[in-house]
Amino acid sequence: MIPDSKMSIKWSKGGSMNQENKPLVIGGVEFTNRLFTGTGKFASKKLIAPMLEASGSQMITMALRRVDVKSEEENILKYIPKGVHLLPNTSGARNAEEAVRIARIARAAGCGDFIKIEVINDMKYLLPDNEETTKATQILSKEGFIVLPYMMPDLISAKRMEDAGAAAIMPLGAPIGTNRGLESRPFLQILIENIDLPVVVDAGIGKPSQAAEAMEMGADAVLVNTAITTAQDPAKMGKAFAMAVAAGYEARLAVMADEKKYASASSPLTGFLRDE
Amino acid sequence: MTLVPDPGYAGVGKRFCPIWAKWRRSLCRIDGRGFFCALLKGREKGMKLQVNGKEQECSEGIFLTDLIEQLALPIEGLVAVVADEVVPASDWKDCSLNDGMKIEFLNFVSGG
Repeated sequence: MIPDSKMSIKWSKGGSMNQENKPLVIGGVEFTNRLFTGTGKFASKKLIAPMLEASGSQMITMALRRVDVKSEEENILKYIPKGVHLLPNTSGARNAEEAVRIARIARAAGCGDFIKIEVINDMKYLLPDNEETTKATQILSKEGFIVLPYMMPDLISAKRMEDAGAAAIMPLGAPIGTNRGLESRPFLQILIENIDLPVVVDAGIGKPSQAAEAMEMGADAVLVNTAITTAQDPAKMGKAFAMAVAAGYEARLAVMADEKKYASASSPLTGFLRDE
Repeated sequence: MTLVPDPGYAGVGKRFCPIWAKWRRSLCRIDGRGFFCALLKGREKGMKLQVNGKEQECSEGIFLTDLIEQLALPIEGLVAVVADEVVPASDWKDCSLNDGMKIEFLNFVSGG
């Protein structure tokens, strides 16, 4: 079988691994803070603004749902300070068609052009459907959306999403809400090295150290929700994550030394205060 | 037995069905202005909408703003989608609803 020419992978050193201090630009918007946050699972929505202030996060996610008169769920938008970019997600979508519909409604309702595509069929692990996500990316990017697809870290899918017009890709570190960190580490590394789009590690990051590690590896940003919003003090945790993300990014710019198998003394191996 | 005026009768309008009208009048005569009249009147003048996937009865010729009021929906942040088009809040009062229309009332909620 002759492979499709579109599928051939260019083994380029992607922009993500560039060690120059380049601003993060997604869809023409520059982000000086590389921590994106989510609004899910806050004990109180009043904690959103202090978290955003403490972390300095410039983009935050939200979802669109049918109104439930019985539930206490309030309009989330009023709790998000002006100036923070809104990233509505298409959660609840089981296929490309549903994701496209949600995206169109979110934009028409005044949420801007950013959209996080989230197509999930599996309710046990909440793993994204890369194929349907790619389809939705193609449709929405043609309509002028700034598309950020949440995806399984798979290089072929990422290339297809890039071709489909994604503005960035958002591979998962571990399943949503698990706090297990970068379980997909080797595959994230492949994406980082071979995809020219910004790579935002989304989902599964449970500790600031794991966010720092993602940035050290070459990620352009991370999206953290559960680990911040379910911490005892979300504002403080938001700040800790922002510091870790900045530290990881700074470490990458500084170009880290290689790992070695054996010890390499940091102090001189001569002039010891003892008689041989 | 005195003949009770049928409040629903005037609303039959265009499609007059003598058998139906006779049966309905007889029901109203028995029950006066009570349950049956109200029920029949509703049937004659109401329409059915699909609101958030569920059937919703309402009176004919109402506007979107009336439906929102009828359902006592919280207005703040409310997103109204009529026949797959988002209707801005400023247009709710001018958006007339027809029988069988699909309407979604949504809002932005917490999510990651």
